[in-house]
Amino acid sequence: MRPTRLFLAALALTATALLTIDAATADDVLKERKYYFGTHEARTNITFVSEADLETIHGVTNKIWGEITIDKTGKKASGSIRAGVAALKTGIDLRDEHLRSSDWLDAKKYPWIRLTLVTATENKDGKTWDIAADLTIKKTTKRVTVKAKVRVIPDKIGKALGDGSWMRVQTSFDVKLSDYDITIPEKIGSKVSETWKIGIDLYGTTVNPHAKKKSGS
Amino acid sequence: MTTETHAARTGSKASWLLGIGTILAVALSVLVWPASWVLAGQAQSLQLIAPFDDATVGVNRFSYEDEPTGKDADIIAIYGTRFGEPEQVLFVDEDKVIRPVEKPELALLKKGADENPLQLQTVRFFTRATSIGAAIGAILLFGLRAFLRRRRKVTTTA
Repeated sequence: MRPTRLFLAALALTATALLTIDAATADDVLKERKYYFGTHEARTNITFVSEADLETIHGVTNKIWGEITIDKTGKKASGSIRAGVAALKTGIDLRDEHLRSSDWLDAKKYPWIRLTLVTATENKDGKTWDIAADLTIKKTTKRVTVKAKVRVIPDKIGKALGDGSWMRVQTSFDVKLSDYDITIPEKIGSKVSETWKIGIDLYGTTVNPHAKKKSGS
Repeated sequence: MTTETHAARTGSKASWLLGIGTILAVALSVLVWPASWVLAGQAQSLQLIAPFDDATVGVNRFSYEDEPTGKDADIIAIYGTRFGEPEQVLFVDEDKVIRPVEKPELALLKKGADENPLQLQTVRFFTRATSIGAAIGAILLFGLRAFLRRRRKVTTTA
């Protein structure tokens, strides 16, 4: 066989092998992996939307930390995510101060909002997961059940995001403020809705940035 | 100049000022509406998003092209996380508007954590409040003017 043909054959074999690995990883890549969330603010969004008389409030935080571990079947998960109350931003500093005050979320006493997975099971479609999680705001914990879109990003594409293997998790749910003992202070002329819509859109990587810093130092 | 003449002149001046105030308040109460309509004409319907960085958008676009559904939600998700439903927004910085190549008729507005774009809803809220406030002010000024004129008449007659 000529060297050129040999080279082309080797190239074709390599390409086939790579494609096979990609196909295999789509199902198997999640198994026994731990993903770290909140490693990059530019791809970490937890949003909250509330209707008020004056305007629709659009809030966001990019400062969260979370760890989720997928079990050996690759179809169940455990872990938690926490967001700092002090980092919630609505675009108006004075309103953010109110949000952090003792009347509302009381950031001094309860600095974190936590979401702890109770059950997380992959659906048959392979794209969505049914999740039951305990949401803790202030001193109250309530169960929320959601359907989340989970997408494993193939490594050859995901390397553009940084070290490790990456996944994206998207979900949304409603939070009724009174369920968490949050009373809305009455202000003349402007009412804030009792139910807030929460959106979670996070990218997780298998590389723990904190471990990297420790080993690097 | 007698004290009575001085009081009459002061009263007349106050009455004149109250009359002007009443006319201005009525004008404000009415004219704030067309001003609001003019502003409403400038509003754009935009989907607010918490944007991703370029690397993330690139990865998302690659993934979307693998399975292009054409759904608005999937296209928006390439560029960021949506905030609820589209909003009517005023004084938009065009540099922050994304018209996705996948569906250019969609218009997304990148909203940073420290930004709060002016919504038409806010303008309408203040229009209503200003109109009602000015109308109440006009009624009060008119009532006060009428009261002062009446009192002056009684004093003059006496």
